Amino acid sequence: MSVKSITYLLCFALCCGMLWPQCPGIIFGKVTDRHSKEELGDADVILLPENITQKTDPHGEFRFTNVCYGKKQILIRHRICPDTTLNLEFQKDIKLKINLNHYYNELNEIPVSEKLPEFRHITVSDNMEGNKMDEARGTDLADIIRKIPGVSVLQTGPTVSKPMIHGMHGYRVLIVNHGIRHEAQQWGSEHAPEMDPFVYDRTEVIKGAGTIRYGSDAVAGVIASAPSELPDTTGLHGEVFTVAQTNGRGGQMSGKLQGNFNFLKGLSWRIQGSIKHLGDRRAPSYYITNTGSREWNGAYELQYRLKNSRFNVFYTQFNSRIGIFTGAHIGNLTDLQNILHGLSTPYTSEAFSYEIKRPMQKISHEMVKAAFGSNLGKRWILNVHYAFQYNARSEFDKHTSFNNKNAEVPDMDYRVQTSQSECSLEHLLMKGFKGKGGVQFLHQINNSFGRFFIPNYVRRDIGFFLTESYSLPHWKFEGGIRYDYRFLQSFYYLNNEIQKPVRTFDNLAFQASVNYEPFSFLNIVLQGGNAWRAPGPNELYSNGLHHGVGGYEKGNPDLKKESGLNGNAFFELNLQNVYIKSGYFIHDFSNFIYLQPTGNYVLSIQGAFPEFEYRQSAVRIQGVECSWLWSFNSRFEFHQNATLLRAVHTKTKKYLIYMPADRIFSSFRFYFFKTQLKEMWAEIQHSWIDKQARVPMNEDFAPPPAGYQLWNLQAGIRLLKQKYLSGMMLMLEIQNLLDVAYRDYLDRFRYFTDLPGRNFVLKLKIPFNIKKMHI
Amino acid sequence: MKKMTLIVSVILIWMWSCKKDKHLKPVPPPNNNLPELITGIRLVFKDSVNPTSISYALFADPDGPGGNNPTVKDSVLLLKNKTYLVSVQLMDHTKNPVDTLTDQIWNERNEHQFFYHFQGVSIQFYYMDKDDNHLPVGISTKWKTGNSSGIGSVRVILKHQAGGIKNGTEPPGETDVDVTFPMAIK
Repeated sequence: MSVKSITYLLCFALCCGMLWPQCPGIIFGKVTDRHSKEELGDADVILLPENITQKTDPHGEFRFTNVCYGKKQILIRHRICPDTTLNLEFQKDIKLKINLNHYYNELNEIPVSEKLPEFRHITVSDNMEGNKMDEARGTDLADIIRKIPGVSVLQTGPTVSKPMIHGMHGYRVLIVNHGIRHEAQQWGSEHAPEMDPFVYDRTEVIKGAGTIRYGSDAVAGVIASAPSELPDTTGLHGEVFTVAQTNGRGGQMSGKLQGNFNFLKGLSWRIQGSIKHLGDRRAPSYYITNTGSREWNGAYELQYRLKNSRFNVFYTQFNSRIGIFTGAHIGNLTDLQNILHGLSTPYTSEAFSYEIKRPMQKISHEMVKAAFGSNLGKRWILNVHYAFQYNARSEFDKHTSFNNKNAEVPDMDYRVQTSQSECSLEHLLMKGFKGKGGVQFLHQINNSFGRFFIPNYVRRDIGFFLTESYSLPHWKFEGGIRYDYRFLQSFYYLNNEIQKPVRTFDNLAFQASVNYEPFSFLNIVLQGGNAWRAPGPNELYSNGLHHGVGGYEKGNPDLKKESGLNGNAFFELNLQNVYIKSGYFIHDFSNFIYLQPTGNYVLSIQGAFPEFEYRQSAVRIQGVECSWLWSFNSRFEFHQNATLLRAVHTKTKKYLIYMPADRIFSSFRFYFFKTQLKEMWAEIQHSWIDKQARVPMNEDFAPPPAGYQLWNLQAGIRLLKQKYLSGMMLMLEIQNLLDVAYRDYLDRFRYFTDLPGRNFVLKLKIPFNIKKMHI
Repeated sequence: MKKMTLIVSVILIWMWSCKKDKHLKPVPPPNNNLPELITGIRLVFKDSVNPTSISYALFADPDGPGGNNPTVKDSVLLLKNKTYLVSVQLMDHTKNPVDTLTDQIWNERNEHQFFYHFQGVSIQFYYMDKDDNHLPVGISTKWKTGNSSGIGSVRVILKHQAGGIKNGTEPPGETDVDVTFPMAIK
């Protein structure tokens, strides 16, 4: 081929490149009013990330041509409607029907805040919702989210699980219950969150900039759970969810009913209740004595929508009675050494029992929230809420009181009541800016009875926050600033004299993030900020014996606030069949609060106990989170995620105790069929947890247990878009398929017992819909 | 009217849902309702020949574990070539009057046992009581001193061995008391 012909060819190719539209897609759409069905002309339709604006014609129609395939966002602005955004995965020419809530001239309901489609927040968030949530149901909150990258579970035997984010728990992980900070005795590692997972249809793990809106103390992250929106059409909807399992020989049942009254348009309601009844769990070779649990929970929600505002009342009540493995209760260190050296075996049983005896926990938690939201003009939304929470926790030691008349007296008894209110103002997209600001108040009183561990206290918080985001075609910037002030007065007796120390803490926190989306399939996110946390009352003033672990914990009244910088960087790659999200995170604390053995012994009538004291030191927690999904065709799905984490004291290079080991979860799903009407699948899941080799020397009573691998198998069928029973699901799951005996480093009872063995679980969800209801 | 009914019912439901706890006050009362606690152990020595000659050794930690260190730590002083009938008393100093718990231990004798370890002193030791399964309890014991004097200690351990694990040996179960008294034989 001659040079000339090559030149021609090149020219030809170049010309073609220019002449042929590279992006052949067409998006055609029509904008109408949701209620009157009126066609809305003269609305701005903006296509992002291209940032092309079109006006709708008098018939409400618009058309974008030469659009590239990929992730798109369409923003519709109309003078009398709130801005609406629509996210779509644009793969072939598409015709959109867009219904706007056209509210100014009508008396119809309007959406407030949560109802508005949101611009995607730049946060490293992961969530469980919809089908994923349904398939995970039947376990505690912590277990539902345990496979989200970065999350692990701190356990106290099989009955108590507490979520950890990046190896941190307690006050560092904020749990948000339908928009309200969950306030209980979060400090205790054996205090699981008092929430009924059946109430919630969505649970999200938020790390990074998104957390600043909830509180600065969420240094590790936020776990936010919320029920689904209440229905806004008349009719009666409900579901019954049943979980039955062989290990524990029991199950759970939840019923939900929701609807909208005919006689009063705009009033919607929901009631929900659930019960749980489980007996002793079984490890592969024995019953883990006294590990039954009971729960009885209830919730309701009412919402009244007016033209421009809405009023919402939400109430939940959680009650539980949890058995604690009898064999794990020790009197002193010698007992523990006897167990560790095989001289004594923790009492396990050959016989199954439903009975819950001492040691046990009895917990009840109540929350009631009243929220009011209103549109102020076209672009502003005002939200106000007030919430009251009451938590009662009674802990019973193994020993029945010597004196039988006191048999029902708990050894430790806590009552905490919390009032919270928030007022926030949110503005919708204005010249690329969108944001929210507000003020939050909290007032809390804690009472402890029984054996002293933490003091009574009064806590008052005030916080101000502001978050703004700015969007450009390929970029999005987000920033947040927050100021908090805390007053904490504690009350306790020292040598029969009342002590009333007051501590106050305040600080500013910042978070910023940048999101760059150079191509529709690639998204790069960088985040950074600082976070701080006031020490908890246990870290300041605890003083008592921790029976489960045979240690004496001593608070440190001089602790300063814990503060540090955090950052993360990650990318998301979204190709045809493959999705990859991978990133790095770091928390760099300058004075992380942790429990350090002092080397001293506390002498008591039960023997000598090693003493632990709260100290502060510079700590760095960093790691990598990775998750990828590959669906080679519509029938197969392969999903894998991994978390690696390293935590060290920056100065001494010593490892931190109780940090999660490296882990990889894999799952492979096969659909027997998957149509618009029904689907049936089988899935095999594998978890690999490495041995935690990175532990501090001479601080633990025993070396970490070996790593382990677990296999789970599940198969299920789900009906979709059917006339009746749409959404019905039947699923069978076998957990710990090979009946592996294993112990987890993050289980505080790992010195005493294996975790549960094989478990057959049957889950059945029956939804129902009655379109016409005459109330 | 409908709206009124609604608003009233909402308020009513809300009021009903709030469990107002009137007991929550920040300042705690000085005497919390403590569960039973062993805060003291007393050994009572009776000379088998002369029962009116009684001596005591007390170990007491009146405010329980933590807080202040044990306030009373007596030593055991015994004479050579004697036989002592020894009994144990357990006390709860947080109650007023001081509660003795020994009877409760005896009531639960099938799941409790006292163990005695002597160091540096030579003692012939005998259990003088048995539970329903003919295993020793150790509330009443007999200590015989020999012809040799010495200085050492006695460690008293009370094990709670519930659920049928009591077998006369020390390792199983949970320790309720573990106290060491200095001891001398003259």
